Amino acid sequence: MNGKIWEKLENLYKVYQEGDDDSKKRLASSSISLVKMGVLLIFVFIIFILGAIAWFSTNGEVSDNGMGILVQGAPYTIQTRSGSGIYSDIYESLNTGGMEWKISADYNFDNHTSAIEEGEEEPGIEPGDSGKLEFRVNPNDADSITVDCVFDIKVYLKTITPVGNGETETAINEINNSVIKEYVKSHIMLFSGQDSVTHKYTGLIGDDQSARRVFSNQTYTRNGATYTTIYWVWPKYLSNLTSNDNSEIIFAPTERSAVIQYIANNKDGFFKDCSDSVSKVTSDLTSLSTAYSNSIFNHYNMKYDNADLEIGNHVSYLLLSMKVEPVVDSE
Amino acid sequence: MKKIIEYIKKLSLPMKIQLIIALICTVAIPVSAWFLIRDRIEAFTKIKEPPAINIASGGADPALYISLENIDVSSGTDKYIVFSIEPGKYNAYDIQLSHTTNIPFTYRLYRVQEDENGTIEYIDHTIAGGEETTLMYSIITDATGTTGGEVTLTNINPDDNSTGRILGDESDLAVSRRNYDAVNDEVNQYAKPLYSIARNLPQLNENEDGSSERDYYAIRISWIPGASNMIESNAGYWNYAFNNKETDIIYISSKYSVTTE
Repeated sequence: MNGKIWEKLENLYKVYQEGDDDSKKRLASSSISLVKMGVLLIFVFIIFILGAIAWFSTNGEVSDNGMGILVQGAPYTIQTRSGSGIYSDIYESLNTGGMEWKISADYNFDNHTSAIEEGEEEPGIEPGDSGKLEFRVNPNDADSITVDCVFDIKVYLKTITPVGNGETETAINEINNSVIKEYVKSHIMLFSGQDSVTHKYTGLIGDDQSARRVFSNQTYTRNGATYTTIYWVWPKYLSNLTSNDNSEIIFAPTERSAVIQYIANNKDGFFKDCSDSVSKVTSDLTSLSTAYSNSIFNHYNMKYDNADLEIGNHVSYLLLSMKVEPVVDSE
Repeated sequence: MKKIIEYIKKLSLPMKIQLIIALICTVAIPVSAWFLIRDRIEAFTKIKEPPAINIASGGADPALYISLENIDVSSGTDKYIVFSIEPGKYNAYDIQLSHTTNIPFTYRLYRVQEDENGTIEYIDHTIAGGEETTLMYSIITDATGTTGGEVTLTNINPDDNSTGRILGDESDLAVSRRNYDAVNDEVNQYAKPLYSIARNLPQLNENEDGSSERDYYAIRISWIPGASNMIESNAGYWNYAFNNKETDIIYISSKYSVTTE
């Protein structure tokens, strides 16, 4: 094919040098077709390169990029309990694209019917509430799978607008205000463990480098029976987290210092209008855990309570999502 | 199949483009949804409203209408001011009164209820289409935690050194009480407030759905009218009320009762 093109080019050059008017016309038309062909070839080449790059990159890393999963088939299934939450109708109407985290009487997000049976009008969470949720990940093909569980929070506001004749219209919209979202994300804390006797929390699920809450490197075997329990807690008072009093929810000193560091790093989420530096918050809260000071405690607790109030005043519904990301073997 | 191909061939270019886009969308959207469903689980719950205690006026009026205006101490010896508490979901709350002690008033707190035959009058501003209506209230004499309907107010900072009136501790202030017309008698001279509190008042009217109605209260402001021939040098002169002093401020505040655990 290349030889032919070269012949053609030589021909064209001859015509250009020696030809009459008529052949020059033919030259014009054939050079147009040559240009067309050239463009087409370049186009095909570009497509080929693009295709090759895509092929390389999708095979090179299997990630949450949809293409990778599709190529391999779904490598896992997330399993939860069987019960639907009482707000599942509202949840379905939001079309978040996720799968409902099924619950039971013991494992729920204060959204189980048992709360209504116990006399609560509209169950929900408020400061001081805590509970647990559970799930497991089942590898579909492999014998075992190791995953990172990434937690995220979305918040929604319910608005009721009168539309005349005493009728009202209810709308539920996602809140994108990052300040409010930070308050909720910080105040709803997640732990991976709880002492069965003392009920104190262990294993704070904190942030990774990209400020995502990640519970990393969980390994599940195929059709195993082990569920992972996640403990959620909305501490009522700041002292629940900082005090070394035996009645508080964090007790082990190492746990407490990890929690205090986490609070300081997320100070704008834990506290409303906190202008103190991260290191100041860290040292103040650390000093509180050993020697209580009224003035230091009130300074922070007021801001903590104000953030709670902001949540209560501006947020109607809360969505805790957990995304699973298979860990790629580094070998 | 041939027919379909022929039909497609006949289509104009824009229609062909539309057809291709439609086909791509049909395939792509279900695929992406399928992927997401397996990728993420979500727990959804409600965040409860923060409980609030509101202070309001009588009837269905907002707090705006609580008014102490037009007290004429030369006629009668007391006046009732109606207000109400909306305890929300709390079943017990505290009420604190704090008031300045410029005028020799005594403040008492009563639990009251709407009662046609009552003697405490309140002008309602919001009932009956904006027309003002007079509502009558009477003291609930058998209300729990009260003495014949009177709520016991405990003074937090009384100074009982002086005779007669109970005043806020004001050792740093001048002790002789006079009227504004006297030399060096400033308007705010006796403005140091006296705080008194009633704790753990039970919510009386709970609705069937768990929400609460208003609990009505009346502050009884009473005084001893002074005789017109009294002069400042008379003993206990300042224990008597005259219409020549007009500024006292009263704060009503309420919060949920902290029960000792």
